[in-house]
Amino acid sequence: MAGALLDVVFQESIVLIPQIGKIVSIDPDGKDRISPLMDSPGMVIREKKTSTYEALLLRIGNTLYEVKSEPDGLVLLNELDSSHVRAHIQTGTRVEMRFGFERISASIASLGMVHAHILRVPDPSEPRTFCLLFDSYSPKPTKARLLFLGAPVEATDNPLRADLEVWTRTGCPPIDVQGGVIAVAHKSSIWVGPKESGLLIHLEGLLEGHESAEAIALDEDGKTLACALLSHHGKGLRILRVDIQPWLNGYPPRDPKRAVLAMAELNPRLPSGVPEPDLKRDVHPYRISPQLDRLVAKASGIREGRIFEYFMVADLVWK
Amino acid sequence: MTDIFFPEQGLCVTMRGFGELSIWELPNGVLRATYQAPRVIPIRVHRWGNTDAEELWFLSNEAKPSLSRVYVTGFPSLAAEEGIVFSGEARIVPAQDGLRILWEGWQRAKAAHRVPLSDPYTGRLEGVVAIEGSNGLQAVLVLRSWYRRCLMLYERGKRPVVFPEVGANGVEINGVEIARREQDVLLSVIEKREVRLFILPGWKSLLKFKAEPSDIICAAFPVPAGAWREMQKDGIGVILARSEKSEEGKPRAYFALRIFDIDERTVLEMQIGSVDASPDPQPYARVSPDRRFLVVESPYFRQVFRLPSE
Repeated sequence: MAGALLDVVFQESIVLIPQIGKIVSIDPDGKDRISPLMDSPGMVIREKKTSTYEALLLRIGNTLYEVKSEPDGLVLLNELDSSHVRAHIQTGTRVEMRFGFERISASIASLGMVHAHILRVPDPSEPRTFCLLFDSYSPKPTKARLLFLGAPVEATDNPLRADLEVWTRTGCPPIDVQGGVIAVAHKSSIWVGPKESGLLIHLEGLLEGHESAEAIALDEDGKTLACALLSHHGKGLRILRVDIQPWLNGYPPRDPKRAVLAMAELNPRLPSGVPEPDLKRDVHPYRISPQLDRLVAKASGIREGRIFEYFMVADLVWK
Repeated sequence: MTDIFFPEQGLCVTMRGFGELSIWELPNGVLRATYQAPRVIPIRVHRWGNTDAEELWFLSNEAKPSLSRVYVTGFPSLAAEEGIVFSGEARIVPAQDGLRILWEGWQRAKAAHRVPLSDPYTGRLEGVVAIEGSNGLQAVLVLRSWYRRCLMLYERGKRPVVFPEVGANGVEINGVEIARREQDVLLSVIEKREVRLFILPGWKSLLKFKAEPSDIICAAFPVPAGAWREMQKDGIGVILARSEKSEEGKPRAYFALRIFDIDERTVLEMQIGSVDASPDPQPYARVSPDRRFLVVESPYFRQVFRLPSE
């Protein structure tokens, strides 16, 4: 488990990469800084605060910490005050206690722990919280449950709006919510839907058979989607910007390739002292920034017979 | 797997157990889109006065079950509803542990039936077919499964009964088909290599058809007397698949429609079409409620055939 990727978070110009055991922060020059994280969180919460700032909360044991980056790349873990903690733990408890709790509590008993990755959006429309439940932070697609949660008006209301079985990466899950639309990489492909519908439509015909969707991000209106597609035949990475509105209307285009609006090239900002990666072979994308202008990827390169593995931030140059 | 037809929209919806929902265009059988949907129990509703169409409803099997109706125009939507409303006062509503059938509405809730999500004797709820009559809800068919499948019949004022001798060999909700004969309902049930025809009320068995060893039963539907040419008595239409080798030695599946009455007199026998593949021993197939289309799916193909009209 050590080193397992939890998420990638954009806080202004700083990128935070929480992992089990450490949190890496990367500043605008590509310089990285490592802070220790001595335990494994049971819950990771990412909340969009502004178009350029995402809050990151980690629940470790029964305590909720907010992870904040300083402009110099220093990472601070602030224990949230008890009222804040209670509110968030209640959310967590509700996830475990109220939603199909027979099944989930049974799996807690047998598996020991259910992890949750929660995405919260400030959007006033329902649902507002998206919770992925899974056994462990996996770098490869695995079975998970994606719950759409609304704010119950009364305590007896059922906040569950949808409950989907998905096959997705649970370490930094490729899920995004913007402008009333949810996008998920499910079964290595891309699925989107109006979030109130509780259904996801497959963007069929967009990927080549040898590609898998590794990172996805919606624009602020939920009308276009940026995606990083990785070839498993050594053909490298494709980063596309796609008009998803025909799918959201329920009438997918006959020629999905024509929905592609632009393609991006990578302009990497490497940490100092690392060998340059082969952009075709040695880059594994994890997340695209909410403004669709940066990609965070794991890269590797060889220097003097030694393999270097590191996270890098690359600017996306759209063409 | 469940197929539901929306003839007004020219669509067929296929639901698979793991929450995948596909929408196909009729008559060409082109896949319009695939969706990931919640895992639900499908409810097929046959309305009185509209025998050509059907409604699709979902019962969510969460800790607190809820009902929603599925609309397929544009991006499909699930409209949450408090219950399925039938003529008269009848309702099907979600209950703490499944469904309640309120035959005479909320006023006489004591006369209701309970359809639990899970039951120690008959297993878990797999699917529901609700049949509206001229005045209220006429009958509800419930498919349950455990180590075997069973089809249960719910009627107003009667104890729910398990269809006799049906289920041991596996019934699918697709294999349960209805037709109207005045106020009565004819019901056909496919059970692997057999089709049985019943009449409601009562579940009196009218006919049992066994396929020949070389034939595979794909789909079946009841045919009321008078519905087809000189057909004097009730009967059934059966879609049979047969595998033959082409001249190059490749397998080819041929589909034929056979209609016969309860005296086993064949009224019609004709070829529907063929595909370049072996038929599955238990294909997923359904004939549309207006009997215009046949949808057949196996691991190797999915095809829509047009059925002959009278």
